[in-house]
Amino acid sequence: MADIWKRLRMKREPPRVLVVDDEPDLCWALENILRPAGYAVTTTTKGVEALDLLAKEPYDVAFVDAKLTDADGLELAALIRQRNPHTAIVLISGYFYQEDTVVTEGMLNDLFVGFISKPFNLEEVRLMARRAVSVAKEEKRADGSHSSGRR
Amino acid sequence: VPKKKTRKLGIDVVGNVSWGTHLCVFYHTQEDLIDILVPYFKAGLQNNEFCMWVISEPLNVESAKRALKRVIKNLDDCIEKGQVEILDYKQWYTKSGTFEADRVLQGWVEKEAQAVERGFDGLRLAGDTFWLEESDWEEFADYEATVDRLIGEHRMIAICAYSLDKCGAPEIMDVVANHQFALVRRGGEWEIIESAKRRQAEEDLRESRGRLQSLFETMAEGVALIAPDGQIVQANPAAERILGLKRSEIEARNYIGPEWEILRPDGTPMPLQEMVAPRAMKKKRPVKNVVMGAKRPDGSISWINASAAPLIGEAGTFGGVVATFIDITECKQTEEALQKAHDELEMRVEERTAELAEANEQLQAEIAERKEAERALQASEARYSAIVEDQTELICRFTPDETLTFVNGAYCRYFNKKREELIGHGFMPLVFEEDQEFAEKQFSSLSPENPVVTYAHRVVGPNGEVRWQEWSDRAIFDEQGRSIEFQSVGRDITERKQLEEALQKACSELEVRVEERTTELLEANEQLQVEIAERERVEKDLREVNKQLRLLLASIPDAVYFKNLQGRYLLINRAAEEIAGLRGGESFGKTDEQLFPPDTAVQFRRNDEEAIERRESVRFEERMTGAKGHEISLETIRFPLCDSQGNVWGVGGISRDVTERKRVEEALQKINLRLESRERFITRILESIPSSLVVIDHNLRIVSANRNFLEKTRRERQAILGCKIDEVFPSVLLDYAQLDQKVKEVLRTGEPVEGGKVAYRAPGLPTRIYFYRLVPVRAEESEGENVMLLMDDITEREQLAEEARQAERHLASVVECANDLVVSLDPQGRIVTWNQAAERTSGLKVEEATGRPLPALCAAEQEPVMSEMLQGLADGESVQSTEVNLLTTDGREVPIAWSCSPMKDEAGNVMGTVAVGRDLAERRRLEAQLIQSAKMASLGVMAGGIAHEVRNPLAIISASAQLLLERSDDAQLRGECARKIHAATKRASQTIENLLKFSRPQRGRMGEVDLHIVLEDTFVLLSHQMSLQKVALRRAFQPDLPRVHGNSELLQQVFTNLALNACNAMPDGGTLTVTSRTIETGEASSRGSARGVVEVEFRDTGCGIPPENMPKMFVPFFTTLPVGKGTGLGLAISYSIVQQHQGVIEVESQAGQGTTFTVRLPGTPGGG
Repeated sequence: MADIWKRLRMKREPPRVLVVDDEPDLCWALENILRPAGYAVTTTTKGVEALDLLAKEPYDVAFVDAKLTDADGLELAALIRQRNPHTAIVLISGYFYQEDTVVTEGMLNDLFVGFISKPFNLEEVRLMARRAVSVAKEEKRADGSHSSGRR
Repeated sequence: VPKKKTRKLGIDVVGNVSWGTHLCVFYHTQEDLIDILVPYFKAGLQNNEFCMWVISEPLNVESAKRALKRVIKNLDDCIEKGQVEILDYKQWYTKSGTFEADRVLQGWVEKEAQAVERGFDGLRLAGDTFWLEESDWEEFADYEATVDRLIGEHRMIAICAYSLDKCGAPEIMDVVANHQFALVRRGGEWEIIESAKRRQAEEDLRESRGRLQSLFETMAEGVALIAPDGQIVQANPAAERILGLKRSEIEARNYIGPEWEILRPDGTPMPLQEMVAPRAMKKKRPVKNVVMGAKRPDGSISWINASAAPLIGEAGTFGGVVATFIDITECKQTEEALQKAHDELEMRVEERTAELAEANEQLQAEIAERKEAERALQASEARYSAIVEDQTELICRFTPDETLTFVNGAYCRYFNKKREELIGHGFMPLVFEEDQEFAEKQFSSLSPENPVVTYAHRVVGPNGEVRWQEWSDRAIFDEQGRSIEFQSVGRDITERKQLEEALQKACSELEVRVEERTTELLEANEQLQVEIAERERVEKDLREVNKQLRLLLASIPDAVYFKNLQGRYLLINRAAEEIAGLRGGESFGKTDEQLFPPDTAVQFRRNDEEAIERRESVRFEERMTGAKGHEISLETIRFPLCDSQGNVWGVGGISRDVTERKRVEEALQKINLRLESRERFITRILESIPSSLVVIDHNLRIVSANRNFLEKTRRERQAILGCKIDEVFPSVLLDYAQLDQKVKEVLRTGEPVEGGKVAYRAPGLPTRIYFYRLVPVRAEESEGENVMLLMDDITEREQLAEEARQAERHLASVVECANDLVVSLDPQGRIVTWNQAAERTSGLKVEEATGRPLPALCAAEQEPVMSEMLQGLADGESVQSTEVNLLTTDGREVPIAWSCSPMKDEAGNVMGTVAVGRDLAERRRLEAQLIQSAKMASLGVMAGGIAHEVRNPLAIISASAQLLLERSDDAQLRGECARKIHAATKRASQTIENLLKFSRPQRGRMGEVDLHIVLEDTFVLLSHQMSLQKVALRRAFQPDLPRVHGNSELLQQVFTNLALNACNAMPDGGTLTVTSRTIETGEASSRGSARGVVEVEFRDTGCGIPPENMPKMFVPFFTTLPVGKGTGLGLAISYSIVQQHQGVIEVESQAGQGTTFTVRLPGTPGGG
């Protein structure tokens, strides 16, 4: 019974999303897209700050810009995957395009679960957020059933 | 010439031959010769050849014709149509008196040409050489060699016939060597000897030698072949006969072996160095005609005339010596018999002489008896001497035409005339009329063997009185033995003559008185009549003789003296006492030692002894010191005095004082020597000058020619001297230059004539070009005027001038056709030449540009730059370069890169300036295109940054717009969205503008540029690229940086390239430090005030450049980036742009530490 409660309580808790983009206006735009859709959104323009935030609290999804002033988006993604295996990452960039080898390789290597190229549709962002949350949950559950899951 | 076409020779043993065949035949008899030549000419006449037969003894023209007619029936027809010519050798070979190879050769060639012209196939000739003298052999052999060389090119067949009787072995060798075949016709039989020179195979050589051998066998002359090692290899039967040895015995010997006993003509053994073969062996030269005796085994001696010649092979190798010798034993014997007869004759003459001496002795005895008469005569001698004492000798020189060329003071005084009145006039008028013929006969009779004569004749004195003179004339001769001058020493002998006459008269009177007395005595004593008559006769004769002798002794100007064997003077005449400075009678019985200084005495005694020793009169030149202490030269004859038995009892002497003559002669000799040396000097100059000189006389004959001329024309001096010029120069040349007329003109006017250029080709030489001049030259007075033809060989000069003209034409066309502007200026900078490229570029025609100053045609603001540079060149600076725009006629400015250099004359003075300009418009256009494409390429490199820069604002705009649609109810959000859209749009637009600015092609305007603004513009464009590559930018700008003159867009391109390059060098991020500063160069420019240099430095912290890549940094398309990432053009274009701004770009790098690029640009004057 306690499990059910626990599950209900969890269901009530909105999925947590971290947005990392060196453009404050883009951070503003993503927050305004995702928050009304039921996500708890935190934004930052610095890679270092993002890692700090992730170390304090768990996030289900991280939207990471490929080019940051203080870090390379891809490298940051790799670090996040290493430290927070339960956070699914979505790469967002105006520099790459959908079929870019960097993008396809990143997807194949499980570095990120999706890619959004700038400019984007709002619905596209929300869909990607939902998919990322479900992937994150899937992974968390898999880890729960197998004590030593993927790291 | 169709050489291959064969001709029938008519001599079966040879067969057919081709044109150009040259044979020799040797014949024994006249029949042999006819047997050879008649069929030969028959074949020629049948085959339409022109035939020429030059005959010699024993044939003559008639007998030759008869011989031909026997075989050729239609000979008369042939002669009539001019197909046959039979000539005597005097009409052909020695036409001009001597044999001249060139003339004969030319004659054959002319005959050939005439024959062909007249429709004959060619020339067939035969020449007999029987007339040839031994002395002509060498030249004739040369001639034959020339014929043999040349004939191959002609339509000629030649036979040279040689009589075997006149040929020795060496001559046969010569002849055979110079012909293709040698035929020997002997006793109706043929033998062929082919020339060894033409034979290749050794067998043939041996065969030929074999035939020669058979010839040797029959020769009368002894021949021995001696190998280089001295071994006698071969000897012929004649040698056997002469030497009395078998061939095998001779051939077993060495030519200088000890078995030989060789004698000189006088019978003494002959040393090796005199024998012919060793001399020929040693010197490798022929030795001829040495007489020697060879002892035969039977003890008799063969006298031989031997010659030897070296055998020189074709390659110049020395093959030993051939010795030839003729038996002259009989001659030698005859000579000896003659000698014997001669000796006997001499003996008899000696006997006769002894008899005469005896008679002389008797005379001497009589002289002693007649002391009385002698004393009387001595008194008269003393008188005569006193008269002579006061006279000084007269000296003169005169030419064979009796013109005086020199007289001394005594001469002038004697005739009381001034020297000028005498010199140049004949002396005959001074001679007494009746004696003139006699005098002339005396000196005309002189000869080189007998050059002196002494004689007396009468002259007419200044007051018309007739006086006697005695003269000693000495003739001087030229090389031909003709007398050219006489030197004469004379004295007055009038007093002597008068004395002689007086004495004669006194004697006659005495005679009369004696006669009277005798008659009285006759009457008184008839008994003694016969005896007295006898005595009278003897006395008279003796007196006569004695008188003559005394007179002679006393009156001759020569000293006469007798001494006994002890050297005591027995007799001494007045002249001797005079010369020696002795008082009369003082010397009698004294010796030389007592009378003269020791050295003089010794000299006299030595000469006495020599005469006594040799028992004959001996001539001496003696010197002694006279009474007045002056040197006296004596010409003395000393002779032994013998008694009737032939025993020497004393010595006699006759001396003549030749002091004055000697002095005059020596002086004359000196003058002659000086004249000769001057002549030699002039001759040497003429011989050594590099022009050809020919002296021509008024008959147009060549008088002399210098060596240069002879070498150029390949002629011998003897061959042309005396020739007319048309025999020496080709007639074409004479006609063209009208040389004969010009020579005559020079002779007429006496003025030189500048001839002109003529081409002259000596036989066998290439044509040469001469410049000739004719100059009159005064020859010897008697010969009148001559003309000297001066010919300067200007062949090389002409060729050089032609080459120079070609080079000039070539150069001019290069200048005219050059794509670059070529302008030459005078020292004031005014245009002198203006080529087509200059016309094209400026639109100014040559005639419009010429004379205008070049700076005036330049863009106004750059005019001073051009003027300054030209001034610098005029002041001695070397090559200068600058870029100055040229104004065109349609008002444009064309950028020109000028390179100017001074034109200097040979002394180094500046004569003007050459300016070469290159039109830069085209280059600028190409550069601009290159820069543009490089820009586009760098845009590609920047694509990532651009995408990021544009897509970020787009993303914001897009998101804001969608939010507006979705949540139009939220008023606050709506406002926010609108603001975001506006800001992002502005940002994107700015980015695009920067890009456009960068990518737009340059406008190419230069102006003053603030580098900081350019740098900032660059950074804006690149900021995102740098941030993408994590490159931090640090500025270290100097405030108030001077402006530079330049194109800001081009400079931005440079900075963009350098910044991008730095980014690429730092793939993992880093720092780019850009520094700007001014540096003072310190050195003041020659033009204008000192300007600072502005420096911009890009320093990165990247990987650095490996040293091996440093040299390639500015090479186009050199890149280390992967394909698609870099073009390799950036740095190359930057380099070119900086250079265009007269700046420099440098790179410095350390691997792992980073790279620094430095751009230095000249600041604007006073800018800042």
